[in-house]
Amino acid sequence: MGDILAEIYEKLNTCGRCGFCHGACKTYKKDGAEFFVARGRVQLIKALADGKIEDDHDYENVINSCLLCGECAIACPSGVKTHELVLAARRDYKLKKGIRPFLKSLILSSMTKPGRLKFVFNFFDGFGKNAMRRLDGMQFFRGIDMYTMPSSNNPFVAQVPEVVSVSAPKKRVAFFVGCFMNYAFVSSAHSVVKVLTKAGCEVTVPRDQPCCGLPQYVYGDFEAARAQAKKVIATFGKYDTVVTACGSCASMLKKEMVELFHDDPSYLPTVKAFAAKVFEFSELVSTLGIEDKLHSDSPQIVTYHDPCHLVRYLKVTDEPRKLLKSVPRLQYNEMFEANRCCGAAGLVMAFYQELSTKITADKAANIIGSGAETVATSCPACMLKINSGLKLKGSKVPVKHVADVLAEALRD
Amino acid sequence: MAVAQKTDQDTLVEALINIAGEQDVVTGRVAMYAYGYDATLLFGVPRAVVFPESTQEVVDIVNYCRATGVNIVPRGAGTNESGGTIPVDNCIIMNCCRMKKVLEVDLDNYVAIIEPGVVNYDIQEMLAKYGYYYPPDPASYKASTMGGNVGECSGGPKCFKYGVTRDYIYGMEFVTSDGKVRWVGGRDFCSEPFYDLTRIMCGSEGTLGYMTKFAIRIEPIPAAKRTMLAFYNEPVDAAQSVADIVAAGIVPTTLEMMDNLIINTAEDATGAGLPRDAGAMLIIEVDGPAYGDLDDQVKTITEVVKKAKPKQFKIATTAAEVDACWLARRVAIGSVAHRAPSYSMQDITVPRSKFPQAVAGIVQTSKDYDLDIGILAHAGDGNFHPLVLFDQRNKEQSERVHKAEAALVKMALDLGGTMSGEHGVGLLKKPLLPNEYEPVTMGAFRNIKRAFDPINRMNPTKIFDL
Repeated sequence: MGDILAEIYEKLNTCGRCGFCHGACKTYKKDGAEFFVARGRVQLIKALADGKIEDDHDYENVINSCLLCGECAIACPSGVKTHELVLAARRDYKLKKGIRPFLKSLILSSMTKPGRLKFVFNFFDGFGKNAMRRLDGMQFFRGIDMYTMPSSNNPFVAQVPEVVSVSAPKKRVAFFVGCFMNYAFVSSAHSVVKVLTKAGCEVTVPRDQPCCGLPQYVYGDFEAARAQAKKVIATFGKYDTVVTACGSCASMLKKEMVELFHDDPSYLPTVKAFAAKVFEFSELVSTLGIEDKLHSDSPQIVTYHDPCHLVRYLKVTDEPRKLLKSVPRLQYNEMFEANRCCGAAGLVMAFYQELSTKITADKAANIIGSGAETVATSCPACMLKINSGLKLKGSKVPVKHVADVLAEALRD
Repeated sequence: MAVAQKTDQDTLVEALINIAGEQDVVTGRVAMYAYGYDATLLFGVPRAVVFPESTQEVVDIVNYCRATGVNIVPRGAGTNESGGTIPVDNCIIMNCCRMKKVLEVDLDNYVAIIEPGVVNYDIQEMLAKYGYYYPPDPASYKASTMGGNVGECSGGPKCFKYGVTRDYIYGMEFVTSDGKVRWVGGRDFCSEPFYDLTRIMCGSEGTLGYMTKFAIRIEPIPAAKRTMLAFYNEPVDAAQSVADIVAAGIVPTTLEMMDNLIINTAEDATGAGLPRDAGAMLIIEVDGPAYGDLDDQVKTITEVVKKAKPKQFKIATTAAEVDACWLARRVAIGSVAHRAPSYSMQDITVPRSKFPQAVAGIVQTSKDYDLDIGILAHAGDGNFHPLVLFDQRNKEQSERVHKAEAALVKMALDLGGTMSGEHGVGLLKKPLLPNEYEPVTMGAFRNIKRAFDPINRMNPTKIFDL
């Protein structure tokens, strides 16, 4: 038995196999496979710990197909947090076998190297997209709409000054852009800056924008994640307030980062102090009183999708809704199951695209069913996946960041 | 060059793939382990799992298994509490999860035609749009399939007033081990002439045939509902209220009882603010066509409950308060995991008039065998789920648990009750069944099994050995 599995053994043993997680687990709901449900994952991790199965390719699929959405933990009457146990199992797997396949490890390591990341997005924006447009049947690659996938040959940080100042600033904030926004959803990043400056904040956009470390963390590469955390704190630690508009980055900086250093007493206080000054975009903006600055002449119907990291990890749900509802002439329609995962889940959408795309189809149907003309959310990964899910259904409902909706209602 | 010998296993898998398609056949050690368990502590390993998507595929699979001597164990979501879906020797698991179409909803006749893989909750959700529902609601209803519900004849909190699964199945299609497709019962009527084979199929735990289609009875959602919550000093006080409510001529939708141990584990799980020193709690729910009728019932229930001197009595006035009343009950079973890693859940049922004696009997069993036993009961129909807490890894304690289980069953039978109210027999209660029935009755059961499945291919060794 590996040390990590030994540590979590009692938690694995708490699962009473009642199966109540079946209704909550999105990966199970798709085709009813018992090894792709929380109960199955827990029982199989336990079976590995007991030496009853091998950590072969099938086992790897069991732990790596988990969305880590945390919905099962809410449904579990025994209080089993399967997403945490899966994370521990991935850590155990990484230590024993490394990160597989090679492509996944390449992606994860690329995210820690800004130069390589910039090259990839440049290549996609220039050559890649063009090539795909010329090939029939390539609009949807692995469930992602390639034609409308945003990408920029010029990252956001290169498009804005380091300090965007306002007269008599109420607050000074540093903007942690996050890889996805920096290279792909650049216009949403501009919206974030616009909303913050209109709210009277001086916004600093540090030139150095390291990856938050979440992608490495969730695949068990804690060493790489710790290195990223230290880079983040080296750059952002000096600011009083740090804001990010990516739900996943927010969760990493506020929550997982603290857990990552729980056994490092020398650095833990630094991490805790840093985490305490990080705010998710809507969390911060809802304290700034921008409501009376919002104008809108045309009516619109908007719904909101809760990213897993905000609703279940950080428990931020009211703030974005309140902000959206404060836009004049905006009718807010709550969709069915707004808080359920959209299927993106980081690299799950790339490596288990069939599963992921089926989950997104449910989300898209719920958005269409809400009658909304726009769907807003707070995470670029959700934006990418939901946009593709809607396009696959032939829907024209645009996906926007909450910041985009607010920015449109703020006059220049 | 050596040519690899094709094993029996390869031949079986190849045949299943030919019938059901590659996507619908699962093998491999990891996956087979995942189909080895259910909600009990039993375990077995199947040779393969197949997910038929049509009645024809079921027929082809059954024919193949008959010809090659492979046993068939049916399975839905695997949430049963009796070991009914535990793999047996030389078996495949036939899983109904991917046959999940709702074929017809006929509101004029209160009927829906569905496939067995439809999850109970999904039916409720679908019907709610029309203002209808399907009354049986086992605790696992968010997970469990209708195939499983019918196989086990599931009950649920509402069954005191509304009955169990058996009362809502008009007819069904199933495939017997000879590969024939049969339809029994009707589509629109509760009864068809002659032998009621539909009711024999309900609760047959997959031993007679593999069910592929159901005509279920649906009903309009009652317009009004009132929910009350009472906490008592002693379980016997709660038992008295149960008897008095029914004696007053009221048939509540729900009468759920939880004892001190379960109140505490539920509080551990939810932090909902339940009084930890209460000896028992009772959830009382009445429903009907209009609020006016219910007001009288609520008034009577209030008087009756007050007579038993409760610690607290609440009438929920908002949907949120109703939800709060149910929260503890919903988590009750799983929440015992906060106390001990393993539990054994019994399903004994006694005549309602013997309810207080049964409560006393469970408390005595707990003392006799030095085990923590939590009491959870559908009190209206005298159905108890005593939860015996233990650690499976402790051999000596596990032995005591088995003895306590037998003692509980004996106690229920002595009170004129039954060992299983709604969970079925499966493997778990198989050794205890002859305590309940005369040999001649057991013989009749075996003859029914032989009439449907003479070659003993469908879920063999469950309930009894042929």
